[in-house]
Amino acid sequence: MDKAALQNTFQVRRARQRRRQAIVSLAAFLILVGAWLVGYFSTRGDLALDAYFEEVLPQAERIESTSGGLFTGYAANADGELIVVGYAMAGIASGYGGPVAMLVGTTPDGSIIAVSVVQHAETPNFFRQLERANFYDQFVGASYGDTLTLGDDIDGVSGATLSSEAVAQSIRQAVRGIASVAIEGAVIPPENQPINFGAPEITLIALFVVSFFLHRIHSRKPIKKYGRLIVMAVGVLVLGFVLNKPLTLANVISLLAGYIPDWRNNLYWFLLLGGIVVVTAIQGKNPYCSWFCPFGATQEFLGMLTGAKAYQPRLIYNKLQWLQRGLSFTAIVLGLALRQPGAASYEPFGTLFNLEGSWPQWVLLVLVLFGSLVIYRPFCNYLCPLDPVVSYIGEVRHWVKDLWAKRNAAAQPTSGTTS
Amino acid sequence: MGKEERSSTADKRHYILIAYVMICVAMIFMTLVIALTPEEQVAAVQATQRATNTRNSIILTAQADYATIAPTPTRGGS
Repeated sequence: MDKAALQNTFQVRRARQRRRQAIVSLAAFLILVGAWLVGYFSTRGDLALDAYFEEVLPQAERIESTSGGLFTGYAANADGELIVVGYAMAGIASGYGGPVAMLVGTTPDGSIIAVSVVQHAETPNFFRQLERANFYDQFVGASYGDTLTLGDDIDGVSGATLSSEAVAQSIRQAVRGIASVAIEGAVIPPENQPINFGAPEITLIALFVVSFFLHRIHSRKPIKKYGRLIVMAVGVLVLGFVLNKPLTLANVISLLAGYIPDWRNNLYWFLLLGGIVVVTAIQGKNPYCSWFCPFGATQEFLGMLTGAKAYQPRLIYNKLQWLQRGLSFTAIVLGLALRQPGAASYEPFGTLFNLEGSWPQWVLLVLVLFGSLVIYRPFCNYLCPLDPVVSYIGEVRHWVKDLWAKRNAAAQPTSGTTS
Repeated sequence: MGKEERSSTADKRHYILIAYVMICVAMIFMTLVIALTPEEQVAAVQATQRATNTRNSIILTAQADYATIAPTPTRGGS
C-alpha cells in the first residue's frame, strides 16, 4: 500500500473513531440528564410527615397544621376540652450526601420531646453510627434556648461528623422555628455558625501546595522521591485513619445533584474538590489521586513491600478501562436517579479507615489489599470510580487548551499575505 | 523460555487479571444492591427517639423506635 492510501485509511479510521466517541459522549450525557430529572421529579414535593407525628408528639390526639410550617398537637383534658400538648416542625440541612430532614416535637414551652429522621441521603453504614452512639438522645429535653451545636452542648459522632452536624443543624432550625412561631416572648439565640477551619483544612492545603511544587521538580531528584513518600504517608495517616475524609464518589454525585453543603461547616469539602479542579486545570496533573489519596497511597505502600509492578497489558487494558468507566457511570446514574449519593459510593475507603462497610465491601477490601501486593494500585487502575471523573477534568483542560491555541492561530495574520 | 511458552504465560496472567477484576466488579455490584435496596435504607432512616408518655420534659426517657416506613420524598431542589 502506498503512503497516500495509508494516510487515507488512517484518516477514515480516525474519523470513524471520533464519530463513535461523539455518539457515546452524547448518549452518556443524555442518560445523566435523564437520571438527574428522574431523581429531581421523584423527590420533589413536601416532606411526608404524617407518619412521624405519633413518634414526636406521642400524646397528641389531633394534629393541626398552622402557619409557618408549624404543627400543633392537641389532646383532651379531664374536662374533655382540647388543649395544646405540643408542637412539631421539620428542619432541613445539608449533610455528607444531601439533605437531612428531621421532625422535632416539643412541649408547649419548647422543650424537645422527641426527634425523628424523616429523610436523608447519607451513606447508610455511616448514618447508622448515629443511632449506635445514641446521638439523638442528647437532644431530648433540650430547649430552643440551648446552643445545640457540635462541640458545645452536643457531641458529634467521630467518623460521621458531617451527618452529625446536619442532624444538629436541622434540629436547631426546627426547634427555633417552633419557638419563633408558637412561643410568645421566646428569646432565640442568634444562629452563630463559625467557619470550620482547623487541622483538617490546614493539612489539606499543605498537601496540595507541597505536591504542586514537588510535581515541578525533576522526577530523578531525591527530594521529589522522598517528598512524595512523606505526602503519601500524611495522606494515609491524616486524611485516612485520623480524619477519614477521602474524596469519594458521593462528593461528586452530591455536587451533580445540586446538594451544596454550607461552606462554613464543610470548608474541607470545598477545598478538596476545588483544589483538585484548580491544580489539575493549572498543572495538568491531578495531585490527589497519584499522591495523597489515602487509599491509593495504602495500596502503593503495600506494593512497595513486595515490589509490585504496574500491570496494564495492551490487549485487555483498554477494555478494562471501559469497564471502570462503566462502573463509575452506573454508580453516578444510580446515585442521581435515586438521589442517594452516599449509597451509590461503592469505594471501600470507609471500610479500611473506619472499619465500616457491608460484607461485599469487606471482601472487596481484602481483594484489593492482597492484589496490591502483586499489582501496582489495582483499585486505582481498574476499579476506582473517581479515576474516570478526575481524568475527565484533564480531558476538558486539553480541549480548552486546543481550542485556545486554534483561536490564537486564527487570530494571527498569515505570513506573506501583507500587501 | 520459548516464544510460545512466553505467550502462554502472558495469556494465563491476562485470564487471572480478568478473573480478579470480575470478582471485584461482582462485589461492587453487591455493594450497590445492598446499599440501594429500600430495606437497607429504611433501617438506616428510621431512628426515632421517643419520650415516655409524660408532659414533663425533665423526666423524659429516650426510647429508640425503629419503625419501618418507606423512604419519603424530600423538598425539591434543596
